[in-house]
Amino acid sequence: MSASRRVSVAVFLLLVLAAWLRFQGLEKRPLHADEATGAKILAQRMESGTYRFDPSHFHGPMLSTLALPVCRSAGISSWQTMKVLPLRITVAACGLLAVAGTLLLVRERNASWAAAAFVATSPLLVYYSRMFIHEPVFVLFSIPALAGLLALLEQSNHPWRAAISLGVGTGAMAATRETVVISLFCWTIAALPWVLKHHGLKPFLQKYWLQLAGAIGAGLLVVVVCYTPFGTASFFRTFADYQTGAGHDKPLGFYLYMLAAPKQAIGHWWCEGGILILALCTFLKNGRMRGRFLASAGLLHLLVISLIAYKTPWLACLGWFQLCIAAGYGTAQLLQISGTRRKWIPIAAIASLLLFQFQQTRAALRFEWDSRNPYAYVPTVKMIEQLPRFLQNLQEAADNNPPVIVIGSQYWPLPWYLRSVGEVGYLPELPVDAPQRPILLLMPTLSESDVKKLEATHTLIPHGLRANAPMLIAVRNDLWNTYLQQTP
Amino acid sequence: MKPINTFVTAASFIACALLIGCDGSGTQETTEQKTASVVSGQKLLTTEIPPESLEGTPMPIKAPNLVAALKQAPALGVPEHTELLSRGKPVTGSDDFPIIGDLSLITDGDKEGGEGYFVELMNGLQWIQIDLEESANLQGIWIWHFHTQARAYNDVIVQVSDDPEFQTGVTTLFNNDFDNSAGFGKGSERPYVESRFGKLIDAKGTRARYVRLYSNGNSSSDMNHYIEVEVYGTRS
Repeated sequence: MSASRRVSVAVFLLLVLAAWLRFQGLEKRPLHADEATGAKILAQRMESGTYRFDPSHFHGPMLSTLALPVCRSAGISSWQTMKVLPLRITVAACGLLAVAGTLLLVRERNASWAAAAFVATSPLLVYYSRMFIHEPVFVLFSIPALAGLLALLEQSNHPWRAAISLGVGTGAMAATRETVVISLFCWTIAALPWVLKHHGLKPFLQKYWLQLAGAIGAGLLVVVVCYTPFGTASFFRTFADYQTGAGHDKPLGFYLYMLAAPKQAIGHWWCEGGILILALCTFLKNGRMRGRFLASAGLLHLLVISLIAYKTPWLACLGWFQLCIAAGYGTAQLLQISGTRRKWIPIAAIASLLLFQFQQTRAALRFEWDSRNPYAYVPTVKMIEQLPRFLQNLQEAADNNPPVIVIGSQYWPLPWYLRSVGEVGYLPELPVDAPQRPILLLMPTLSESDVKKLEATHTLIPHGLRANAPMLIAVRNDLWNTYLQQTP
Repeated sequence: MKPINTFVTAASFIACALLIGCDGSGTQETTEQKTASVVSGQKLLTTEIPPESLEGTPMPIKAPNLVAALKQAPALGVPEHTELLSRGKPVTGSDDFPIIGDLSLITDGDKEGGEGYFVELMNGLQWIQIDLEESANLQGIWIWHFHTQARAYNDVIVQVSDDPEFQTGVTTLFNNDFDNSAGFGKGSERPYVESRFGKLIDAKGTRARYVRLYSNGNSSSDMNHYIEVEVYGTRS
């Protein structure tokens, strides 16, 4: 077999593995609250052709822009007809393209292989490539941005091509998440040593000011195109107005613990620390500026998001993606310094690391909605999938098909699961006529005193919503007795 | 980047790791038991109640338990010579390879809530079965599924029989499968929130050798857990 054919086969196998991890059993996990809100935004856009962009709560429109054609091709046209698979296929495809993009981004053969293998098997990156949220899209668009930036720093023969790649990639990132400013900050800081060492700041800016202006222009053009239906000004307002939800403040070391600290849960060991060690080796010793840039950019990303009190696991995706690539450079360096005779030592070490990553990813998917899974964040419980049928049975037991009233806040992803349940109402507080209402869903945000008001009139059934946040189904006693008497 | 910057960045990450800690606190409460009227020739069924232990990472939303768990041990009047029959007795189950622990934990007498004290069975409808090794008049079955978090188990069904296959002579003592998802018929008993006081089921003197308990996940996850099951009865 020729060398080029061997490479083609290896690329194919790697992509098959990455695809299998990202696409298998994609519809099994119950819909996460964030996925459900994303689906609702997409549905509004589908049904009305636009949606009201809320700069204080929404991320960019890119996720729904990409999911729109996928859902339409699956015959989905409304909230009622929406299915989970097309939503998740959109982001899983982004995750797979990120693996392919890594192969293109890293030029050195050994580093390229290793980096793509780390990205393909990283439990964090695989787990969040299977969730309909913005991060897989954000990571994907960072590839052209990084490719353009690195080409400019390396004084490419095609500076305009590099500038356009940087601008379009960054613009698409901006249309995905407002956290693009963190990436721009980290990349600027990481690029400074390179610029100072190889160009000098002033000569670099003098040489490339036109291309950099072009990159900014291309980025703004993408932002304008993406945001125009919702008002371009809202993109800029989001930086001033965006409000993070309460209850997500975590310790400084949250991300480092989640990714790099060895821990045991659900009968498995979890740790992606090997990536961090290899990336640190690249940061400290690697002769390749590209590797050092990615290592420092990845570390800076993790550092910046660690310094922000608001933390969710998926925010680490872009930083970790860059560290996986830096770890690829570290692997190539290990192979280089070990010499031909002792090359089997780093090869065995890297193979073990990849196998360990693969096992963790398999476990993360096996226990995909288990709250003990280090990557599962506020997962929805599986039993919620049985809730619509139960509520429909209750409604059938009543004569007049009564509405289901959801009381309290933080009820997502309930609206997704209640789509098939006739009339559903949402009230922030317990209404005065609650004792007369036949079917109530009481959210965990209500107080025990609210519940006590219904104890005499309703049968209270604890039911799962999210891990550690059970809700209560309150069924008026006469309806409950009628329901129980019905067979089966 | 200069070496000093390199080491400052690396050191800050190491410092982050050192800042991580898990909060875990446990409080002990005096065991209280509801007073119940006990008729002549009966005694109050008592057992050792495990201390409360709270653990787990704080969740992003504060979710108070809307249904108050028991604040005192349940009470049941039983005949004078009622004894614990299940301690150390063999346990079998539908899941031969539990994810955590093993089935013998269910009758080992230990009711602590942490890891090492409970057995975790696969998701879906699962059962465990205690062989008392001889028929007895069963008076009470006291169940602890999991009590370090407030959660309710689904489709809790308790059956007893002299047939190890549960094909004949099956008596259902408890069934809270309100939507018949387990397929044994709708149960009229109400789902309940687990607590350290356990769930005490009146066995009403039913004569049987085997006790089988079903469950189908819980309000926090779809796994099934047992810390301890105590079967009380009279041997005559």
